[in-house]
Amino acid sequence: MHSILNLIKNFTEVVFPLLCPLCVKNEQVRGSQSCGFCKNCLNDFTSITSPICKKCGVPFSFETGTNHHCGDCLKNESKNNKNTFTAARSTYIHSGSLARAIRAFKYSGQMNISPALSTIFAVSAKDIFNEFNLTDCIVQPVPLHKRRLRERGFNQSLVLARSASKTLDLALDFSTLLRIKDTPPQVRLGSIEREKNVRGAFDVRDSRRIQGKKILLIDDVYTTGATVRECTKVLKKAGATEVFILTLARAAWTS
Amino acid sequence: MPITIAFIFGILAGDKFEPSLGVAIFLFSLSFLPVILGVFYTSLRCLPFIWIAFFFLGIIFIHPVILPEISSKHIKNHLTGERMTVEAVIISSLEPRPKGMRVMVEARRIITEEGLKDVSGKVLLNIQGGIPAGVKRIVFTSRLKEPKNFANPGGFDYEWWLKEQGVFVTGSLSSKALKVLENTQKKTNFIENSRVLIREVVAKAKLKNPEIIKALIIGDSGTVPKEVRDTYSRVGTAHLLAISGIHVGFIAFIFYNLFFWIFRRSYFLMQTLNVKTLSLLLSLFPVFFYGLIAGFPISTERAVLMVSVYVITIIVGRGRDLYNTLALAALVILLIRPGALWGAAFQLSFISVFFIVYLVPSVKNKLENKAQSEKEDEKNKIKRWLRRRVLPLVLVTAAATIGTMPLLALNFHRVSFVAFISNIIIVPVVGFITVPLSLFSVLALPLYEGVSIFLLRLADVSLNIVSVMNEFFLSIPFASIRTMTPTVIEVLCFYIFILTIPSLFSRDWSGKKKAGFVGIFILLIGINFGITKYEERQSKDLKVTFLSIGQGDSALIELPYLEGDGVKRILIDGGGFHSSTFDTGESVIGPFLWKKKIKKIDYVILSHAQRDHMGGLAFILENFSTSEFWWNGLGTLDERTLAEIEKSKIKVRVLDASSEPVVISKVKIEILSPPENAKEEKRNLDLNETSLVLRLSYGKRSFLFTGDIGIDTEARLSKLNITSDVLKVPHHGSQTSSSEVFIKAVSPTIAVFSVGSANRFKFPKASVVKRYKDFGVKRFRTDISGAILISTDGIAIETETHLTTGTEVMYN
Repeated sequence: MHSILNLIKNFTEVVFPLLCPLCVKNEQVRGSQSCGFCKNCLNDFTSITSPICKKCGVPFSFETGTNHHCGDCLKNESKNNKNTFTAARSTYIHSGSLARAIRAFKYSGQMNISPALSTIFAVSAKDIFNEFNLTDCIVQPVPLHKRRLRERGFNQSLVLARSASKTLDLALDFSTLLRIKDTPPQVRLGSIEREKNVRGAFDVRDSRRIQGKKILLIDDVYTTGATVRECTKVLKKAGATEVFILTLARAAWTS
Repeated sequence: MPITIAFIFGILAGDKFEPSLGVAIFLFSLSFLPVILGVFYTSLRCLPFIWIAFFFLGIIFIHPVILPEISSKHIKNHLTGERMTVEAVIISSLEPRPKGMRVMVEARRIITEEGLKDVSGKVLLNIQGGIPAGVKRIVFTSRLKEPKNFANPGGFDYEWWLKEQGVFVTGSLSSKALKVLENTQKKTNFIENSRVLIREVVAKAKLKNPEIIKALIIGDSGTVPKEVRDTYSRVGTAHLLAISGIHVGFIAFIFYNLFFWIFRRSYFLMQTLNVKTLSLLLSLFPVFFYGLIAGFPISTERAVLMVSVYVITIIVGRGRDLYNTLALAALVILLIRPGALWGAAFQLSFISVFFIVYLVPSVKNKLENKAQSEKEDEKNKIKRWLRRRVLPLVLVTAAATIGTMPLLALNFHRVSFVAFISNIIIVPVVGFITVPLSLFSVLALPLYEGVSIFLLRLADVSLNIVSVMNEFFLSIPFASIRTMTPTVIEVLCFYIFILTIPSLFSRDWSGKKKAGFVGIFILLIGINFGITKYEERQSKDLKVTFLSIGQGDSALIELPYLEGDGVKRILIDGGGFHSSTFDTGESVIGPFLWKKKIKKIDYVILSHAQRDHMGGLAFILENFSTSEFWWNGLGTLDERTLAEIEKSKIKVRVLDASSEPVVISKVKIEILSPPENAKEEKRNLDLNETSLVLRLSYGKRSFLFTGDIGIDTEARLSKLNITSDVLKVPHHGSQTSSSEVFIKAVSPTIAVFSVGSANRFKFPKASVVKRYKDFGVKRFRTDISGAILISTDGIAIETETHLTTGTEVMYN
């Protein structure tokens, strides 16, 4: 039965070739590297490679060396703030075709991009799983406020979180961490304004569920980290032991 | 996409060459083998083989349509030409027509002299007076016949239209000649019953546009009055009158948004399910429901398929790949009905969507880039609104209108220029207001009739608004024009030109190249025009075409070219039917003239004011420019003709035997009858006997047009010099005409019988045909030969018939 289904799938793929959902021009990459995008769009993705900041995951501009803390993170560490995440990772720089893909997915609601993004996100999830000990972790998406969710009809972080929880076989929880303040979007704000904007925006509904647990927090883009830092603060206060951040893409420089 | 194209080529090849089914299946299997291997190894190398395979699949699919196997039991093989009694089962939904209903039945048994006989085969019945809904089995008596085309150049292929539906026998009868044997159980035929209920509630609501509302909900497009249809087609919105992709698309869109809105009320659902996809999936149900209520006529079936394919491709994440989606929809429809390829509606649907997909993005990008370079534009809110909301609508409408123009000219001989504007406004009104309101009213029907009626009245108001807009659009000069039938080459040239529009808008082409391209096209248009003019100048012959117009008369006379006058044309009579509303002018003569690129008939002549001669003339006077109208002045003209003569100030000449002969373009026209005193004697004379009798002479050759004269007039004429080479046989070959004296006096070489196929008068009478045969006259019949063209240069006579081109056929 499975082989027949496969045959049908093969047939439709040959007869009605899958096009890249982003550029809708070229065919998708086939075979083992298939991820849903075409070669051209995929080539435009910028991977993040070592050396990066051990903590926030920002790539350094120099090509060689080992991972170490970046200046910002060192500064924060010295403040001895307990409520920070253990590490933040993402596989790609938020630029080029990936940025376009995320924008199309998030704002234009193009559902056909979501499987492709989920696929590449699953790879990132495996990477962070290999780097850290994430067993028994709870996967949580950065929540959307009710009103925003209603506007959009879906939570893009939840779509990614679902993909991560599936590949890593970890529990998914999208109802504990809530966004209680409908804040304006972060997009056009500067870094200090961003911090201010999200302050007090999140809350934990039932802290028993996360007490003593490790959490893998999922978001689409890491820009200044203001959102995920605020979430981490709330989660840790509620009793989470460690918080890891995984985003699909991140800005090249935190400024 | 290539697969659909390969399939279409297969269908076309299958039609053209009619290869044997076995060969096609063999070649198909041969080409499919590599495909199976390719699929196993997911190799792209098998792609060309798939194309080839689909090419042969096209041949295989069209084969049964083109060369159907008809069993000996088929009712077609039992037709006698006489009335017969048939037991049949109704297999289609009832389709209301202006005077009754049209319904498809499957014949089961017939009564013959030897008793009951089992038969099979579909029969398309026109039932005057109609039958009640829910009827399943009937017995009827009717003179069934095989459908026949009016075989004229440019004519509509009615035989093919029926053949494509698997119909080879038609009949018409009054509801009195029919007995109901069996009704379906009320519950089992839920859909048909609801359709009846809807018709009742529409009647109850006392609407101003009940026909349009019914056409929009239950697909009763046959009852929309001709004037309304005409108005819509002149405004360029006739496509709205039959349920098409637009209507179904709007329904899908509205219900998708409705479901999406509902789901977005639930925080939980939005986080656990993919509500967007779910809403899309659910929107398929109302789409299907709409199709069911409409009774799934061909157009709706196609529309529902098209929209479903589109929605499903979005669900599986391929929705943005529009060309392939469109191709897939076309493929699905063609797999189900390969013959649809020749249907105007199919072509129009896909061509319009194709050009929307093809033209809109490129032109829009171009305009947007321009707007972005003018930064201040952003600040102007009105401009921004126009660009974001109105521009796409304008572009979509323009693309669809341009794309369908040649097809509309080809099939409906009309091009509407206001369509560019009217569709922008009227389509959203009908799509967002009229159709949803009507459908909601159907949904409300089981709950509370009052609500239903109220919603219908609202929908009706929206249609009133549309008709006000229609009037406004029609008041614009040159809102629409009648067009002559374009040739295939002209259509192709036009499409090639449209296909280059994106290049003309892009920077890929240099200005020189663009100018050159446009120049070539203008040159081509010029050459085309020049050739037509030159051909006209070369025409030195007198050409008479006897049209195959059913039971009636109609002949087009093209006079030789004369410097200064050009080619003058005369039309004698316009055919027409006594019983039906079928307009021979619109459906037979018009298309023939448009096909010949004629838009001016200088003289319209009516032999005598009877329906089978006068019927189609009003349309010709209305749609072709005419300077004179000749007739015998006896009896009454129909209102439309009188109104048009008044309106266009056409000169009327009343003629009789005392009128002087007229010479036009070297052709002499003598008026031989009716006698001068016919008016006084009118009471004693049969109208047939007063027919204008005209003798046209050119060089040594002459033609005699006799109308419906009988033996009395013939006797009188026989004393005059009426020898003619070509004789239009008087009164369709009735036994009350064509006396031996007369035939001897005329002594024609060719006799033309203008008769309807299997007509109820049984014209031409065998004895009359024999009389001509005995005189050694060549005989042509319009029902067998189709249009008959007889031309002469004044010495030689050449004949050409439409159905048997280039040969002179003798008939017994």
